Amino acid sequence: MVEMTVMLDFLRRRIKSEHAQTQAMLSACVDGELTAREQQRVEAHLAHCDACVEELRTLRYTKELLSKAPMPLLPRSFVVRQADLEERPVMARRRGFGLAYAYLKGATAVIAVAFALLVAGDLIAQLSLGTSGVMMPAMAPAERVYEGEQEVPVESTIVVQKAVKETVVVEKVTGTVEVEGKEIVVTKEGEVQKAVTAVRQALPTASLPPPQVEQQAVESLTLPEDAVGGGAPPPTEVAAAEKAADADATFTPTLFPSATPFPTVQPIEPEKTIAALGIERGSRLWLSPIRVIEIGLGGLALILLAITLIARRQQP
Amino acid sequence: MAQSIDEQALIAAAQRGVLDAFNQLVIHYQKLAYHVAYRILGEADASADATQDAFLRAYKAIGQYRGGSFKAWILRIVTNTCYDQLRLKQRRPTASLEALLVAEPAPGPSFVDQAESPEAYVERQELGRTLQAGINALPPDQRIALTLCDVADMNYQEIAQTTQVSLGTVKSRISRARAKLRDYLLAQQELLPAQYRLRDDA
Repeated sequence: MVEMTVMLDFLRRRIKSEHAQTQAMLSACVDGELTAREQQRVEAHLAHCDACVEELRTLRYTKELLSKAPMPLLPRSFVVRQADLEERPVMARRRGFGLAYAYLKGATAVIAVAFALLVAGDLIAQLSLGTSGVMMPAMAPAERVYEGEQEVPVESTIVVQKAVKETVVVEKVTGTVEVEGKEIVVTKEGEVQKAVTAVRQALPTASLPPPQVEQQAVESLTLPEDAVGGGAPPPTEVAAAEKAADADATFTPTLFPSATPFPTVQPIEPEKTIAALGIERGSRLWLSPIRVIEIGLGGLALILLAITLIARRQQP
Repeated sequence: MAQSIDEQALIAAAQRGVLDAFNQLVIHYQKLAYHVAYRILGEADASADATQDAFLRAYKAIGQYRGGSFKAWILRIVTNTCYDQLRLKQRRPTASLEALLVAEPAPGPSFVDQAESPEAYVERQELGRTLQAGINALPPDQRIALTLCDVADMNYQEIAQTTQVSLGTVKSRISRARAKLRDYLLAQQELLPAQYRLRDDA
C-alpha cells in the first residue's frame, strides 16, 4: 500500500515535469522549431493532456492574429536621398565649428587678460617711478652713436649699459677717432686715454672735453632732449674751456662727455623702424618697446573679440 | 526575399557607393522594416523616423556587411534603432507604457484596405489596436523577438543572428512573449471583435 502511493507520487511528479517541459516547448511547436525528437515528446504528451492542447490552440491563434493583424500603410518612401546623407556632415561641421568657437573664445579671453595685465603692470611701473612718457632706465637702448664733424672728423661710440639715478655711468667706450687720415680704434676703456692723448698730440687745437664740462655733459645724457636740442656750445665757449683745460687734462672714461665736444650731435637710434619714422627717442611720439607690445596686444584682442562676436551670431 | 543573385549585385554596387543600387534594396525591404518598427515601437511617426534612420545607418555601414542574410542584417539595424528609441523613451517618460495601455492607442493612420466591408475594416482596426497594446506591455527584448518571428516571419536561427543572442534565448523569449500576449488577449476579450476571440464560450 505504501509502495503504491510512492509509485503514484513518482508518476504524478514525472507527468507534472513533462507537462511543464511541454508547455515550454509549445511556442516553438507553433513555429515549427522543434527537433523530431522534441516533436515526438510533445505529441505524446498532448495525447493525454487537454490543458496543453488548449494552450497550443491559443498560442497558435495568437500567432495567427499577430501575423494577419492590419498594418499601417507606408507613410512615405524611405529611399535615401543625397541630401539626407549630406545632413550629417553638416552637423559634424557644426560640431567642429562649435569646438573652434570654444577655442576662439578661450584665445580671446587669454589675450584680453594678458593685455590688461601688461597695461596694469606698465601703469604701476610708471607711477612708482614717477616718470611720464620716459622709458624706464632698464629699457634704455644700449647703444648711442655720436657723429661729429669739425676740422677733425671724430667718431665715437658710447655704450650706455647702466643708468643710475641722474648719473649715466659709461662703462665701456669704443669708437673710432680719425685724425688726418689716421684712424685710432678705441675698444677698451683703458685705451680711451691713449686715444685722446693721441688726438691731442696730433691736433693741439682740437676741441676736447674739459674736465669742468663733465658734470654738465653727464646731465645732458640723462635728458636726451637737452642733448639733442641743446646742440654744441658756441665756439668761443669751447675755446675758453679749451684754454682753461690744461693740455694734460685727465680724461675719465667712466664719465664720457657726450654733446659738448662736438658741434653737431645726431643720435642714431638702434631701432631702425623707429628711426625710419623719424621719431626721436624722448619725444612724445616715440614708442618704447613695451608700448609697441601693448598696442599690438590690444589690437589682437580687439580683432579676436570681433571674430568671436561674429562667430557667436552664427552659432546654431 | 531570398538571397538572389540580383540582390547580391545590388549590395555589391551599394558597397561601391552607388546610392541607386542601395535604394533598390530600400524599396524591397522598406515595408518589412517599417512594419517591424511599428510593432516594436507601436507608434506610426516614431516608426517612420526609426525606419528612415535605420536605412541611413545601413547605407553608411554597408561596407561592413559580410555576406549572410541581408534581411537579417538590415533588420538588425532596424531593431537596434528601435531599441535605442525605446530606451530614449524610457528615459523621457512622455509616453509611458502605462499611458499607452490606459489611453487607447490612437487609431492607426491608414490601414490596409483590402476591399473589405466597413464593418470588417473597423473590426480589423480594433484587433490591430488591441494587439499592439498587448505587445506594448512586453519587455523590449521579448517584443523584438516576437515581432521578428511573427511579423518578419524569421526562423529562430535568423532571429538569433539578428538579435545576437543564443538560440535558447530566442526560444525562451518568444515562448514568454507569446504566452503573455495570449494572456493579455484573453483578459481583453471584450475588446476583441467576436470573430477574433480566443474562446467563443466566454
